[in-house]
Amino acid sequence: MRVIEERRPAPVLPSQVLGMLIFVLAEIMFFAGLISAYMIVKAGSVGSWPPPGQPRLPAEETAFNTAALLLSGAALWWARRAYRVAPARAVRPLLAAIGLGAFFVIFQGVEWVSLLRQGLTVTSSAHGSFFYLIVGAHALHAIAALVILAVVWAGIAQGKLVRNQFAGAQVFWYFVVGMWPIIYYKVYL
Amino acid sequence: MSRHCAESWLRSVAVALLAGSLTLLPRASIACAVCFTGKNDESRVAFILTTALLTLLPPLLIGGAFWRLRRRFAELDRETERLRAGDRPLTEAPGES
Repeated sequence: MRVIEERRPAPVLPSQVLGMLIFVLAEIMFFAGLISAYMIVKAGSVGSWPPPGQPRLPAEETAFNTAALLLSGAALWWARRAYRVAPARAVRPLLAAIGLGAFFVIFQGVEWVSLLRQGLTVTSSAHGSFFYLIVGAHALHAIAALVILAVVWAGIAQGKLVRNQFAGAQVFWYFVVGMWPIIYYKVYL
Repeated sequence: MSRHCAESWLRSVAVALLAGSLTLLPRASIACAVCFTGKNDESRVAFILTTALLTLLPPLLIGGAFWRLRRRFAELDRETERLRAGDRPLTEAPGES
């Protein structure tokens, strides 16, 4: 007869994942509010959008950047699978995910510099205000998630990763990756 | 009816009347959320869509989380039953290392 009490039952949801999910749900509402406000202002604007004198957003270049972010999400999924087999195997795909995510953030920064030079600032129009607010809020989340992923990567590389930390970081990065196509569709297109 | 009861009743009626009168205030303030932008159909549609989104999103998110948790509980119950029957051990929770 097997003694089942000896085995510790698996948790319904690890604390790290639950905490991150609660945070992500709140952040989804935050972005939903921002995008809703943007939609109302854009629909109620008189004349063309973007307003006259304001540059058009670089949708084509950003589509390429969007692909890099989606690839980063795929790399993280791959890293997680490899981690379940053997933690050391996750180091490379996780590094690829971080690299692609960092590329996304840097590309966004370059795009911002270009738009600022063209006259799109926070105060130039409602278009500029919403653009920098929504895309900037997303970029802040992306940077925070990259820092967490880097901590996870270092933990795996040194063999000191806290249990379920990877899963929490994964939820956060998937949120960053999943939110971006919605922002891209509503703001850039 | 005692004096205390009468006072209590009058107080309740006064509070109810005061609370009821508050419902008349929105009419006086012309509380129309789309009056400043509702000059075209596009802005009205945008307002309705965003209202629907912001109304439905929270129950959908919370409902989705409950649904996922309920499935996970059911899954764990089945695993425990299998374990008791000496079939195979418990599996890992999603995201568990």
